[in-house]
Amino acid sequence: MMTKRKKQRDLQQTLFIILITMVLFLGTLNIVKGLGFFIPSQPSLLVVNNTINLEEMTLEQKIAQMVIVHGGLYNLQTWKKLQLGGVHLFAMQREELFRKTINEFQKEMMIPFFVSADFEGCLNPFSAFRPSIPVREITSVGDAFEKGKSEGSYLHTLGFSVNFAPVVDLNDQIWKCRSFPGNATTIGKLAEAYTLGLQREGIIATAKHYPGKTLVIRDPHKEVVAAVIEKSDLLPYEKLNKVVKGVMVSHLIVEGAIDSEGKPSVAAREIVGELKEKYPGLIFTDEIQMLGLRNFYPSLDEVYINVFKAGNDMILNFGEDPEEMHRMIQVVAEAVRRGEISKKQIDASVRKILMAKGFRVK
Amino acid sequence: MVLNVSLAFMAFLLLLAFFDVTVPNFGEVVYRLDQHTPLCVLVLPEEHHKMSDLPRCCLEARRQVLCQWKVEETVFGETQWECRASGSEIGYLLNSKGYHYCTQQPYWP
Repeated sequence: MMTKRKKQRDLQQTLFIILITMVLFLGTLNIVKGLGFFIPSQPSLLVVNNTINLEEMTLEQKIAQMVIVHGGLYNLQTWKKLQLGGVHLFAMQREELFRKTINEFQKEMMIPFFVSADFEGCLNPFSAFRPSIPVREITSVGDAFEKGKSEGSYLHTLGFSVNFAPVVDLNDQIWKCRSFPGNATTIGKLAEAYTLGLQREGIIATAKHYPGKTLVIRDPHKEVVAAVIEKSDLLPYEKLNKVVKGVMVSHLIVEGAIDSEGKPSVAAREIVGELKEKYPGLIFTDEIQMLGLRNFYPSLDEVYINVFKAGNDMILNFGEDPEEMHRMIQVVAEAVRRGEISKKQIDASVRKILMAKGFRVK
Repeated sequence: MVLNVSLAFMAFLLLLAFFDVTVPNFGEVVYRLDQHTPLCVLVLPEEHHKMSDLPRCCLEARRQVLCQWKVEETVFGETQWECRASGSEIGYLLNSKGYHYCTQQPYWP
């Protein structure tokens, strides 16, 4: 009897040791995987005399340059390993945290990240330590320019290079403070002055959200919604086309003065292509993990392929999973290899991005 | 015995996670069990405004410094979470159902 009980106890103990070892081993494997350890490194880039030869970049490196992610320090090593194009920073409690994060990301990078923020309208990621005047209180061109200049100078000091501002949607029904006040012409003029101020300090301004009507109250829940675009919605962009260095395209399906043919604007060649014809700067997507866009397509892979295929230069993807980010690059690379996305188009976007980062491109 | 069964269950879940087999996480379970309607309230300096576009609300809430447990009674219903950057004139109030919906989004760490 005693021997049987002892045998059972021994068996339980052995099982316990096996299971605890398995849990520890699998737990470590999951942590290592979560940190992006299994993601293969890209070859180092050769930058000679500030010149980059596109032919020396792998397709994966080119696609990675077209992606902006959320710059959380927990993903630092993976984002650097993937050689992504940019990091976007959300609000933080202290100025030093911004500096530290940006320094960590830029350290030892042959091609620096674009570092972007949403310092716009009445959204202020620095509100904990630097108040700013909401744009609804700006009514003169001079004040708009000064605001742009002062914010640009501050962003530059911290190490930012892109600001997703100004918002030029005509009617902000939700926040009521993200766009400049007034009609289309006034918004265009104020946004132009703000842009000039911002860009004078070396910050890339981004007019958003093309082609308009993004801040109108609606009930999209889990579907992409449609809007009728009027000529007046496009007026601020016409005013800004020759000045602003970036435009952000929204997820709305649009018709009227401009037609996305039933697709989300950001994935419609009809919208992005037409914008590219008039405008030589960088074209950014709005964040692509928004459920409205994801639900339009049967799979995430199709979202990825369609936003690249439409011709956007920079894709905002704030997903936090390093493995998924790596998978996105692979999915797009495969689409390029089988000819679904043009290699020429990818090269043209990367050329624009590298030039905006201050490189010469061969 | 209980310990071994729990460990075996943990090892099984870890194995599934390693091979990217998704099982409902805690937030998802709480979200599904919660019978309330998800609610997001945008707090502006002089008014509260219900945001019916929940995915956008989640993304905006994510951009704030932090979300903390704070029960508030609004004209639209009770909320349990506040997401706001200090000094910001804009904040987001979410009820538990809305908050757990947000935590399932890929951009929520």
